[in-house]
Amino acid sequence: MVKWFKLFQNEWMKLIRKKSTLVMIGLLFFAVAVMGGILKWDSMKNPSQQSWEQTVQREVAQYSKTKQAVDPSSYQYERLEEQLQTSQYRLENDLPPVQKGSFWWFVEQSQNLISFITLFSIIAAAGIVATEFSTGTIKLLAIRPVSRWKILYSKYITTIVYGFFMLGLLFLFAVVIGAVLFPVESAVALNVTDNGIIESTPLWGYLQWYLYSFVGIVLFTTLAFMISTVFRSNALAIGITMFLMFTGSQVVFLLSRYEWAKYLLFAHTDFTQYITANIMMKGLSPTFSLSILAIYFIGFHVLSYITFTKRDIAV
Amino acid sequence: MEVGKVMEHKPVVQLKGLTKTIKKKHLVRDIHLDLLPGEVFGFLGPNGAGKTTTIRMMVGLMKPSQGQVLIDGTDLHANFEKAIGEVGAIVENPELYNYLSGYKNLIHFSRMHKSVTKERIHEVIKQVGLENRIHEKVKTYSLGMRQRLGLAQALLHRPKFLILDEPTNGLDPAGIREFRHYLRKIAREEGVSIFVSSHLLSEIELMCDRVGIIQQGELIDVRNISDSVTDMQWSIDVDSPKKAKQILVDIVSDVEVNAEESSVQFNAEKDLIPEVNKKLVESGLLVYGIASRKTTLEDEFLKVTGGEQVG
Repeated sequence: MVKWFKLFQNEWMKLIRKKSTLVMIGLLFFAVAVMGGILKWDSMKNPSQQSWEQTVQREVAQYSKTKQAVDPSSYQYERLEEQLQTSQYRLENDLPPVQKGSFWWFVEQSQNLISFITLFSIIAAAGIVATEFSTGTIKLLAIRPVSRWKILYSKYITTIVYGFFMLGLLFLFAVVIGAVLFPVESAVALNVTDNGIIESTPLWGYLQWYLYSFVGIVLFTTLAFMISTVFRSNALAIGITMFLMFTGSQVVFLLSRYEWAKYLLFAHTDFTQYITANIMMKGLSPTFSLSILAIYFIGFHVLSYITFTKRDIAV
Repeated sequence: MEVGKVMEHKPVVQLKGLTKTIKKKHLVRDIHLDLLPGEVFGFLGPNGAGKTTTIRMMVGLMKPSQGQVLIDGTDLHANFEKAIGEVGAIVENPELYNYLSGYKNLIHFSRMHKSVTKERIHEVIKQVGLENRIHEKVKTYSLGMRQRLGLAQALLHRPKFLILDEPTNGLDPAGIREFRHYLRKIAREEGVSIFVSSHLLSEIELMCDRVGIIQQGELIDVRNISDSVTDMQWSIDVDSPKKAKQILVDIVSDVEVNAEESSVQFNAEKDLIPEVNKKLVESGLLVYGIASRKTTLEDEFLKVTGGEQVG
């Protein structure tokens, strides 16, 4: 364990002391601040015209409509049912949802910036192995009394921790900038449990959203890491992964009428579909998605492992 | 080609039939070599002869197609972590993390070994003479300083076996001299076995006890440096070189007079020189100085490799 921690310390030091990492953190803060500014300006210019009751009623109508087209035994049906219940509960108990222009609303909006974190993680993963090869430092790294697979996994763990760290930073920036720019009003989130509907702070819901987003981040990071290890090229790993990140879900959408499309990786990388219940295609459930993701995940790791441990280092 | 030398110690490194074949081409073929503690071994060969491929196999960056590397008796490929723990190396250029300070680089590598203390790190920094610049980023270093830092990372864990690829590259003459003395010192005092590849033949000659010549992937010759310099060329400054020649013709070979420098030149074994001096003095000649010039390894190297260009 001590050894693993030291290897992680090394990789973390090398990653965090890169100029590009500082730039990424600065960029992230800047992005949250700019979004805060724009949303503040917009919410002051165009305050909500409708009362919250009207908004919720409109949502109820929409959910009911969608529900009719969905298979009653599916996961999506269940989630729509829950959302209808909570909306009714709001109307009956006079519990307004999070209001536009409030602190919690801004924290919710920050979810739109999570794709930045995916991007940053991809960049880190693409560089962490390939750069050692392009600079030749791999030679001094691979001649230590540490097996190659341990070096590989200390690097992998570092990129995952980095993704988690950046995600945490985004949440932190959102909370800080949100608290500065927007009024902190108390709000109530509703959750359906076996014992009925439970009121709680909206915080848990937002954390859940971040956590679900992390599933996609891990997969894209693993993909970039695998390409970086196999081809030993930073640019190729960023290029391919970004291309797939932008086109993957489109392709799945186009193919969604075919049964086999549900085995494609990109039908599952957006795990937040299980929160919104806006599910990409029929027949998906969290368990099914996690199983498919696990298969791809293991596949990527096997490829990385084999190429990194078996191939000669001749740079 | 087994080295026919009586072993005083157990060899630190043994190469047994080391072979690397890529696409049916032999990059390195059937190298047998034993390296002893306290010995500085020079590895010499023209470009593309297979020097770097051999070194890569010796540190486990490449897997041999055939043969074995034993380090302190442990098979490098069967028990990598144990075997490589005794090795310190620079492979080709000392490529370090440019954006980190020299010190951070050493901390980084020290964490990958079992027992490298902070004191040890400072000791090594002092030994390679980098105390003043160690906290600056490596990208500000000159090639010579990188070379020193490269040496420092190789020495951190007190390896029994040190591999240095072109180690004096980028050092100034004073640095090279210092470096040479340092290598000699750790070989003698700590019993480290050192394997140096270089294209500078005179370097190898000054630094090494033994030299191996590799050509087209084969180790074609291994010899002791002292073997090749028993027959030395000498130059004696005297008041009358012509007279000196007459006296010397009988005892030594290839006597030549250099009238301009007022000296005689000849070939002889070292043991003969007191006798030569005595003869000259007894004949009433004034001897101002006796100087030796070793036959350089380069001549031999060119002979062995058939005059092929040396890289």
